[in-house]
Amino acid sequence: MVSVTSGRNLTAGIGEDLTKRMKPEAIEAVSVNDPGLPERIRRRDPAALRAVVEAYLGQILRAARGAGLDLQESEEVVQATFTTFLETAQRFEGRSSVRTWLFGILYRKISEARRGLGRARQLDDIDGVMESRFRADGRWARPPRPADADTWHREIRGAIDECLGTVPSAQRMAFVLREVEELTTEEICNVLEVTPTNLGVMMYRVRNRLRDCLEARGISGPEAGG
Amino acid sequence: MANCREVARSLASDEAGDAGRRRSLATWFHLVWCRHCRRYASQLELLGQASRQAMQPQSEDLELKERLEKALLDAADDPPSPGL
Repeated sequence: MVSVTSGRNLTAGIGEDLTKRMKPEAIEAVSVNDPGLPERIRRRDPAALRAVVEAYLGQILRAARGAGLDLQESEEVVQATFTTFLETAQRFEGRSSVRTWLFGILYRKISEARRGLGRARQLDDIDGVMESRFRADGRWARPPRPADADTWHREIRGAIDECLGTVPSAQRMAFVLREVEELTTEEICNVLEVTPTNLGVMMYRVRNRLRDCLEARGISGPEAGG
Repeated sequence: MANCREVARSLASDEAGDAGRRRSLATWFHLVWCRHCRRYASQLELLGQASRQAMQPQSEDLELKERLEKALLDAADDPPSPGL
C-alpha cells in the first residue's frame, strides 16, 4: 500500500468522504504528477498504468496523426506504443518523464512502420534553397513574400497537410513535438535521440521547408502589423 | 551586427532557447529595422499556430481515441506479461 502524498489534492477533504463509498481499487486513483508514479509504474500497478493511458493517449494519438499516419496506421502504432509501455513498465527508470518515454516508443514504432511501408524519404536541398535567398553580405536576395489574409485563412489547413507530406519524417516529428505538443528541447532530444545542435538544424530545415512550400502556394501569411 | 541570414537561422532553429519566443538582443535589434526579417519571423509564428490548429483532433480521431482508450485501460488492468 502506497501512502498518498499529502497536500497533493486541494479537494482532499471531499476525497476522504468519497473514498468511503468507493471500491478499493478506486481509492488508489493516481495522478501522473504524483512523485511516486515511476515506482508504481515499475510495480505495474494498474491504477498507475491507467493514469498514464488516460493522461497521454490523446497526445500520443495526435502526434501519430501529425506524423502523417492515417487512422488505421495510427490505431496500430498507438496500440503498439502502449502495449510496449505496459510490457516494459517494470524497466521504467524515471530518468525521463513518462511522457517523453512514451513519445520515444511512439517515434520508434513510427520509424519501424515507415520502413515496412517503404516510406523513407531522401533529404532534399532546403539548405541550398535557403542559401539562394540571401546575398553574399547576408541580406535577403529574395525576401519572404506576404499573402492576403483571405487566402491564408481559407487554405492554410489543407496546405499545411500537403506541405507536411514533403517533409522527411524525423523533421516532421521534431516539428510536431515542438509546435503542437510543445515539448522542451531536452524532451525532444530525448525522444529523437539527437543533440540540441542537431535539433536546431532539423527545426531550421523543417520550418523553412514548410514556409517555402506555403509561400509557393501564395499563402505565406497575412502581413504582420507594425 | 547580425545580418538577415544569421537572424533567419537563429529564429528558425530556436537558437535563443526553449520558450522559443525569446530572442537574442542582436536578433531583437535587427528586427526593429528590418521589415523582411520581421515578416519572416511572423510567418514562422503563424506556421506554428496554424499547425496547432490543423492538427486538432477531428471527430474520427475522437472516435478512434475512445476505442483505443477502452482497449488500453482493460490492458492496464491486466498488463501483458513483460517482454524480454
